[in-house]
Amino acid sequence: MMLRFVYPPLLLLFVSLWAEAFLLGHLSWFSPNLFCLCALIFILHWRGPEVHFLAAFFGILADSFSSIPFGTYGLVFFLLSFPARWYAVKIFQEVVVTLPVLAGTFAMACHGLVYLLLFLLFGEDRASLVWVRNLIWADILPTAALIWPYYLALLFMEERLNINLSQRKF
Amino acid sequence: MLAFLKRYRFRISIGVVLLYFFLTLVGQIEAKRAENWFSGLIQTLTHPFLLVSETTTRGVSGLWNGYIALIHVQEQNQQLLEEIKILKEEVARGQEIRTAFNRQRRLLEFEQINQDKKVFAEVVGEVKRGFSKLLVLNKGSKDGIKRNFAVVTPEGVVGKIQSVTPYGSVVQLITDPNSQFPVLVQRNRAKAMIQGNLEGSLNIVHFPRRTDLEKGDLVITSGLAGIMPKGLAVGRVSSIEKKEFGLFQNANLTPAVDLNRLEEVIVILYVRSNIHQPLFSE
Repeated sequence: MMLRFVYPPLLLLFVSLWAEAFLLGHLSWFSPNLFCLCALIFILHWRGPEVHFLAAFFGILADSFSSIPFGTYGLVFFLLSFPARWYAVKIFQEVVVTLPVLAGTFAMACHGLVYLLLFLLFGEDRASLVWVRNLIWADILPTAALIWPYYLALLFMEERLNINLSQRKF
Repeated sequence: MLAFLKRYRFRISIGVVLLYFFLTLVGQIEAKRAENWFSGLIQTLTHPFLLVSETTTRGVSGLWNGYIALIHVQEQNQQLLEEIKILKEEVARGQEIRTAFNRQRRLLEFEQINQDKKVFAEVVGEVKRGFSKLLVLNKGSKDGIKRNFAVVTPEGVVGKIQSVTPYGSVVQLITDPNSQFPVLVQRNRAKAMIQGNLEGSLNIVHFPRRTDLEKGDLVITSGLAGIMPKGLAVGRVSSIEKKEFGLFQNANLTPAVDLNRLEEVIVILYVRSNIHQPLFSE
């Protein structure tokens, strides 16, 4: 009975894995960062201290399908979960319009921090305008747009499973 | 002690997680992208999932194209349109068979020309994120594939194996920003180093300014790093940037293989001329 709160993260995790590796992998112009999106919607909706660890978990899943040093996404998601949770607890109202703005900002911060970490730890410095443009059109904007269906899916699962993550009713 | 741990459990957990990530990253400063059990586990768990997805999609697509679409045509009750539709489908199927046949024939021709021991694999997944470009193959360590083995097509080099599970493997493409390997300019045998970039093409780095390089030059693998066999096409020089000063010139390459349209690839297990290659596989 207590384990019902595990289902939403697991289901979204499987959907994201499938979508990233199979469905969207063939499209070069639409590659949203779905693990980043998962981490963000749980931070915004759940708001409990557990979300930091959940964000780190989604981060290392993203690391599993990436060629950058293992742990980079994990650390970045974990670090970003603190300001995001602060925002979720102190300011966030579930307004439809703000969701894509938040997702876009979170994805952008995520890429910025990954770039900073790669630069500081591994001396990687290869950004270019074309890459930034592709990142915005193919990654950040699709991530922002997909937050609506993901958020609705989370609310739907909560209703079906009769749980309320934000009030910690499992 | 227990009361202390209980009282500060959240802060201690945060500290432990941060320490874990910090140590993991610091451990990779010298040897980038060390193999780890977690990504191996995730890739093993997701591989059957990807295979099922691929098979289901093919099944649904086949059902839709071969049955539901035909019912729709029958409902229209126009014999001529139905025949045209069927004929068009047959033509499309024939074209698909011909394309697949040509692809397979090129692979077989390559098998005859190239005497290296190799394994043919299908691409079942593709992950492109801002900082990396990877492919997922349906063959793994059960078929003899190991880390750092070269992945090629008859047209040229595709990448190298980044990680392996028993029934699948992940390929790091040559255009991945973290990919780097030595090459030769075929025309004048000048040695160079190739690196992927964030735009999905290739750069020649640290190429001496005085060495002759022309637009359209074919660049091939040098075989020096012990990963790629010698003589495989990598790409052609598409642009050269030579500043008025400095020791080096920069060049941009277009990959020989269209990496966006890969369906089957070849993993080279070892090169006939040197059975110890690849040197750095595990």
